[in-house]
Amino acid sequence: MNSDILNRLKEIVGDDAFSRTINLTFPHGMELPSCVIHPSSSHEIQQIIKLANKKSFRIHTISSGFPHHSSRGIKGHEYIIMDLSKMNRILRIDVKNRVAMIEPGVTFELLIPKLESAGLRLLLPLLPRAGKSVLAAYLDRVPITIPRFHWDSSDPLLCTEVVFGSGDLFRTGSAAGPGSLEEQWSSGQAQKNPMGPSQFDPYRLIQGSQGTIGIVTWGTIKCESLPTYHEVYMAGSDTIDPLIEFSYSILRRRLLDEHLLMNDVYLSHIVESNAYGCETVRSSLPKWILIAGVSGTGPIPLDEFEYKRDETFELAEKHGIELAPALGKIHGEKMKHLLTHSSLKNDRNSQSIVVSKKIFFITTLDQTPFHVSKVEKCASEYGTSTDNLGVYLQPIVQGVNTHCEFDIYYDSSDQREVRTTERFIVTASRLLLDLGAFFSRPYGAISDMVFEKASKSMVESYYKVKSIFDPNNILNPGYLCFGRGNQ
Amino acid sequence: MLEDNVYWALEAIVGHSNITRSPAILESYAFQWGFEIESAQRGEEPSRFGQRPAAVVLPASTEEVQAIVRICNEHNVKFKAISTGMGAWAGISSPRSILIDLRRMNRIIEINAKNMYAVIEPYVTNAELQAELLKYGLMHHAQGAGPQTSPLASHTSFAGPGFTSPYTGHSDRNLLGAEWVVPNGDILRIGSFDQTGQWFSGDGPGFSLRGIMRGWLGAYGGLGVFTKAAIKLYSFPAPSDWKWEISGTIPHYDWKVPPFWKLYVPNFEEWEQFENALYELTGQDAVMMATSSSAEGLAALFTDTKMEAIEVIFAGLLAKAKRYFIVLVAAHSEREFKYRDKLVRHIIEKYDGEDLIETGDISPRPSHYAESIRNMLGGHAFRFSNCFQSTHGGMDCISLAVRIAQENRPVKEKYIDKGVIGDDRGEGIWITTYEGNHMAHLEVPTVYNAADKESCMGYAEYQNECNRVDLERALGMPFFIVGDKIHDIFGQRTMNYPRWLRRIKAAFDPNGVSDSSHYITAQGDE
Repeated sequence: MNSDILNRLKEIVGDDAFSRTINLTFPHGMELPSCVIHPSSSHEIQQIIKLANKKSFRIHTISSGFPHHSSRGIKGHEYIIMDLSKMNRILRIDVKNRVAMIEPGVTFELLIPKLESAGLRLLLPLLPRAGKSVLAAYLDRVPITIPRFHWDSSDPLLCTEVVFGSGDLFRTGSAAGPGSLEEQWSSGQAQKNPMGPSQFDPYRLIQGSQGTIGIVTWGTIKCESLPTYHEVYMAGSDTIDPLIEFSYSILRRRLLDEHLLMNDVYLSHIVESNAYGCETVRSSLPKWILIAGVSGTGPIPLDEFEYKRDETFELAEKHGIELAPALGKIHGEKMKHLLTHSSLKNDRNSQSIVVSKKIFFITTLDQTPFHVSKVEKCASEYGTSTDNLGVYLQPIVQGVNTHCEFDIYYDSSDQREVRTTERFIVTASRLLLDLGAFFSRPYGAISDMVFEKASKSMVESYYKVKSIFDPNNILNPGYLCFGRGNQ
Repeated sequence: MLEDNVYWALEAIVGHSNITRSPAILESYAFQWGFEIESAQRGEEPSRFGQRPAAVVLPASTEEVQAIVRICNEHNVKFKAISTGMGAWAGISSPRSILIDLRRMNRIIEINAKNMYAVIEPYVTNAELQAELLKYGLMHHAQGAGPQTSPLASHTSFAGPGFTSPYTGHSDRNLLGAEWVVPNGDILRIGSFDQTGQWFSGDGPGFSLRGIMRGWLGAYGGLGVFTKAAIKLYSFPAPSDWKWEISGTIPHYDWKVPPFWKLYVPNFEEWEQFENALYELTGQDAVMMATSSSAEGLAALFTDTKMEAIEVIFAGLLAKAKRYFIVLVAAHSEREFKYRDKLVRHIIEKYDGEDLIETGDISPRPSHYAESIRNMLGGHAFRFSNCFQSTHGGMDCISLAVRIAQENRPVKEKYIDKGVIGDDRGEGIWITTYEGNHMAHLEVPTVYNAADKESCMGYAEYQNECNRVDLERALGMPFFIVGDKIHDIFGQRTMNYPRWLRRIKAAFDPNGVSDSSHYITAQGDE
């Protein structure tokens, strides 16, 4: 990259926030960037994007490490890494309106205790990495574990401030105005309405875009009251069908907080970190497990907790499901801890050789047994034992659909196993796509498959949107259907 | 006028019986509630007659809609689609325009009871859908416009509050996918349907094209035609053996209220108590309805005739009702009801309120329970003068709604004093919360006399002043901020959003054929 550009970048962010030494771990085969910069404000980000448009270099944005294990990165173009991890301020916590305004560098481990001390709880994905950016997770529509609070697939993301690929600053939802944020606060507003402004919903274009539309500089996050009473129960079954039937009946009622299903392999891997521990736990479990959280909040919390618990148990009994505070070697208290905290185990600096690759998509809960059987069959064809196949089913959007995730555990020190796993993932993904799985958050090779299958009018619409907000394809080229930087 | 060859091309698509340019029929399509205000706002003589369309076509399928839109592009004819078509936004704005009346597309395509979604066509009404859903113990988010209106129109194209919003949310956020003939004639099927043939998700792959289609307000038909929509469903809180039973004659009909349903009207002296109580109650996701109005509004909602409402008002409600909200608890079981009933009572007591139903100041009948969930209560607002319209509309949280109510009162009183709008002492408002209380909005229903020029002009002026107040005092975006001129005014204090809306319009409607009068043009207001 031209030294004038590098000098200008250094001038914008300052010497301390500019580096040509690359300390990040890059996916295999990815070209290295010209520099890494750490902007500290939306104004700096605007200046950088405008410079990129003028000088034709690309920007790859990250906020808590490299975006995704399947990232392919940018090829054939000079690019820089814009690392937002130092924009890590919690700008506002509004307890009355149950909302937090945060910058992209705010991590789960930072935000969860801050909210708790204010009497609020974050709507968590399952075991988010402690150092993971909260905004990055929600911008990627990572599923949360409490379906009743998941009204729309966009939850819990509300309003945002964004710098589009054109270099223009914008605020989405009611945060757009009329008026400045200070004026809005003084008129009682809390940036709670994500829709709009007016006759479009730009937050829906930013979310899920994998950084290809704009760079978010803050966002408001919907929170809930911290429960006064909160218990986690579990039920097991050798087949998944009874748990699914029970799930449908209880999802309708919006009784439960946490509500998720998984197989013994998945559960044992999230509660234990070594092979022996996993196997010990797993051998104590039935094949399928349902996890159900019940809480009581508000002015008469015990009344709420007791009625919800009793209704839940009554419904469970009707379906022949036995809910209990413990299952096998796992106690509900341990599950509750896991469901309300971030995970150090899943951090990127984990030294474990047993790692996993994921396949995830959206379907409906009643179709998950079909998908599971197909993936298990495919795994056996690749010689992958079902002992290494974790399954996690997360009802979302209040039960309208379900995040279905397969985790394939393998020995990363065994190159043969690594290659077999990679081939299996491609084959299984293709199979699932053909069978009606909806890869709503596609990365890497799966992204190519998904957009090959998409209708022409759909893909053309994506390009139209991209040309409006990032006309020179500055941001994250190579993601979604936007080629590899040569549009 | 349309050239004959264009008319015949359209006729070839829908058949001779499904197209007309008969002046009498066209004139009936040009008559709409709300035109009298829009014409007054333009400085014209108030009139309920708007622009007469050049033709009306009635397609029966998505493919026919697509063919019509392509003809419009080919011959530079503007179009607007309507379904149940209620309001000024259902009209067209220039003589070389056709109306696409979607009344023949009236099927419920799918009810997926397990996964709680339905796929509907444009002319399915709330009443029809609700009747079918009850068979599965389900309900949908029906907009406040009433049971005779199209849920597809609301979910795809219009602002979406309803009386059950605390339980069922907002139209925009209930949409799971749509089939959309975009203005250039392409068909887009948003979300999972494009990939899987199933409608369970509206978002992705990657970002969501829901982002360009409607926004909070809806595009009011200014960006193509929606031919199918998948919408979320909710549990109808009644035992499986309960049946919808009506007896009597309108307006004095009776309805079998499901067990474990109960209305309350918690009333408080001051706004502060009202606000705290509303926050605390609706924060628990325990109520079907939480809505607020004036004493006059309360009387209109829970009586059956105008005379009865007036009698109730002067029998004591006017003096008694201060800051109140109506709560409907609709529980699935006795256990659930007991908790929710205790919660409501606890909050009334905590904030020194009283329940106006318990005190006997107002007595909702079983039919009013039915009208609550059928969204028929809004129709009661027409009772006093046969006409009303709403100002303001800012949507964020309860605190904002309370602030707008307070700021609005002196403004409204001015116009009451002028004698151009109905006298509700400036107290007439409507607040509802959404998704528990994660959002709330306030609008100000205002009655005026649509047959009286001064009243129409006066209401129009009041609405313009409310818009100015909202803009200057940062009270959120009002309803009806549509069309180039007013978009540009609001854009100045709202991140210059019209420039992005115009780029969307230009990209998806390159020939500018989709009527922009209640949306935006690509070029601006020239």
